[in-house]
Amino acid sequence: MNIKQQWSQVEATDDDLAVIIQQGIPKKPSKDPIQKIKRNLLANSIIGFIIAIGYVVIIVKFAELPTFLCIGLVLLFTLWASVKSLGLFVQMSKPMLQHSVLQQMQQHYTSIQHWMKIQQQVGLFVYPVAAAGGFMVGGSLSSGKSISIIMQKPIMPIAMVIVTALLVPLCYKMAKWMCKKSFGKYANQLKQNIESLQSEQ
Amino acid sequence: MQVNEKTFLELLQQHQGIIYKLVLLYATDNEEKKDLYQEIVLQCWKSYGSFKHEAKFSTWLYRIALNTILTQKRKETVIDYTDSVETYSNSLSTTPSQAAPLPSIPWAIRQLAETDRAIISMHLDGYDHAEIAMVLGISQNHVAVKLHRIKQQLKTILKFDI
Repeated sequence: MNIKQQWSQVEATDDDLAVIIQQGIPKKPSKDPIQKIKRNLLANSIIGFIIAIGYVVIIVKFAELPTFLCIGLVLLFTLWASVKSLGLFVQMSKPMLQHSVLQQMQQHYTSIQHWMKIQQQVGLFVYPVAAAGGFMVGGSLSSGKSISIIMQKPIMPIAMVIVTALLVPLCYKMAKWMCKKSFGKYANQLKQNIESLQSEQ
Repeated sequence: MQVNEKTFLELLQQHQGIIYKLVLLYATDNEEKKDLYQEIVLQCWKSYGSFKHEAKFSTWLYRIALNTILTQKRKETVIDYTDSVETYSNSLSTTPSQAAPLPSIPWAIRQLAETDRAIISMHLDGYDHAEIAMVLGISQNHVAVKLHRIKQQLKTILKFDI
């Protein structure tokens, strides 16, 4: 008996699986990693826009130049990250299942790389500057003095620069680590399969 | 149940052997088998509206199923099914009575790389190089080269000529 004949005799029924569609299309949410990333992107965008409104309120309330500069910078970065996330969400919402297997895997891999890049850029720009802005606002609120007065103390700008300098690489590394932890193995799995399919060997 | 959902499920049940066999080749345990199957059914249903009936339903189903399986986050550990046919064992004996039991085809295919499993399963299900190339997104030449190599690998694993 050759291999094709043996293959045709492999049991093509499965009672465990047959019961799954007896009640119709399964109602459980998709476990597709790309769906998870999409949900994450949409949530990020919405929360980003809401936080941007909060930043506008802070800028208006603490109408001082250091706050305006710091929080204004964070506001711009937050809006940029929210728009980018929304853009990637829209791109990933295009029907992909009409692609060939290779195209589908490449599309998934590219989407994950874009998503990871956004997270790392946010880690690099938004979090540290937000922390610096929070540093000033927190100092003003706790001391009851204006930000300008607080920042006149020599130690304060130095402390803020040190804190920001520490937070920038730390937040970037944290964002990178979190991305790898969440989707690193999956991205590697995709990459291996893409290379395997493209390879002539 | 809507009419087109009923039609879809009927079509799926007619061709469910495709999904069962693919899940058998890729899932590492029963839990993953069910998860993969559900995910394939879900993705097929989502895409059903755009199925233009230009290609065979079975070819379309194969593509969606492979797209779903190869883009799922799957478990790494390879565990052999306990309900596999005979386990493969090395034997130095050449007499038929003492010959090792033949390994199962699904077991042998599971030893291959994930993308190679897709190629050989489509070949064994009677798809020609052009159809396999179209589903996978590679050239027909590429399919021929890979198929030749896969058959050599299976020959080594199964220890008989295919």
